[in-house]
Amino acid sequence: MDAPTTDLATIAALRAGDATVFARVVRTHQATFLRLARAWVRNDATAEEVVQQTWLTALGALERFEGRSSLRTWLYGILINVARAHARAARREVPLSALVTEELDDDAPAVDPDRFQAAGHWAGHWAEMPIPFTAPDREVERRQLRELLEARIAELPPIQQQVLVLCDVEGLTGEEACNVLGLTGTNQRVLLHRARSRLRRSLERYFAEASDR
Amino acid sequence: MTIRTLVDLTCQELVELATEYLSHAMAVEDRARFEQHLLVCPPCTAYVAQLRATVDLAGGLRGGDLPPEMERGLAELFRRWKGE
Repeated sequence: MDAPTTDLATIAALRAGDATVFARVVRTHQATFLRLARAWVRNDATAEEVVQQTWLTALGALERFEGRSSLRTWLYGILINVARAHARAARREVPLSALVTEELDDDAPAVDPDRFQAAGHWAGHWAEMPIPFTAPDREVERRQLRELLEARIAELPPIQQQVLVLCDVEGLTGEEACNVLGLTGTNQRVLLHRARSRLRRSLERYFAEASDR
Repeated sequence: MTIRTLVDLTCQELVELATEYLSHAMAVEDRARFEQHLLVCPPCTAYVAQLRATVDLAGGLRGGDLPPEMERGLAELFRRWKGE
């Protein structure tokens, strides 16, 4: 996918040294930058270093941005490389492809098998109705729910974490996420489903407990 | 009809396909089978709604506040870059 014209205008403004445009771009991507960085580095101080270095790298490479991808997929790609380089310094290097294989091989079911009838004519069908997830009314509960989600996302394996952040938090298309992470469409959807399934299970526990209160 | 359709695709199989379905990545005949199952299966309909709600709740995390000192640090970084 080629970059939209707004991206090209943004790039031109950055090259011209427009600090207002830079501040806007920073604000737009900052939260996602930090989320993606935290999949690789364990503390916030290091995540902030990763973000700083990403901007330095991106600004240095602006002249080479050819608009063959959108600005955000280009930036996220740089950030992931920088974050992984930081992680490498701390532990043995694991190639991205090996992580993908590892996460694909670990094929936990989307829903606990106990939730389905084990035998009889209706084997493989739900034993009980799944409960609805209703967004809470009270601000204190909404905050609690956001904190729970942030914590569960942070615990996801790195590739699943990034696929979920890119697709569901940030709203990238599957194709864009594949470009950032170098995944095939099938693997992107499998890993996204694993990540969503883990979150869904956590939310199901949260809402079940909330309804007991 | 009900039993036959449900048995073609069990609930346990359907839950594994839900992201393929929501991503519009299914072959036409698989999509039809998936939707036929949903038509006659309230628990799977509830499950797909849960998964959609999960995606929406994750989308609600988008953005977030930036520590002001970090914003200042990046503005400074940009000024230095521009000055080079």
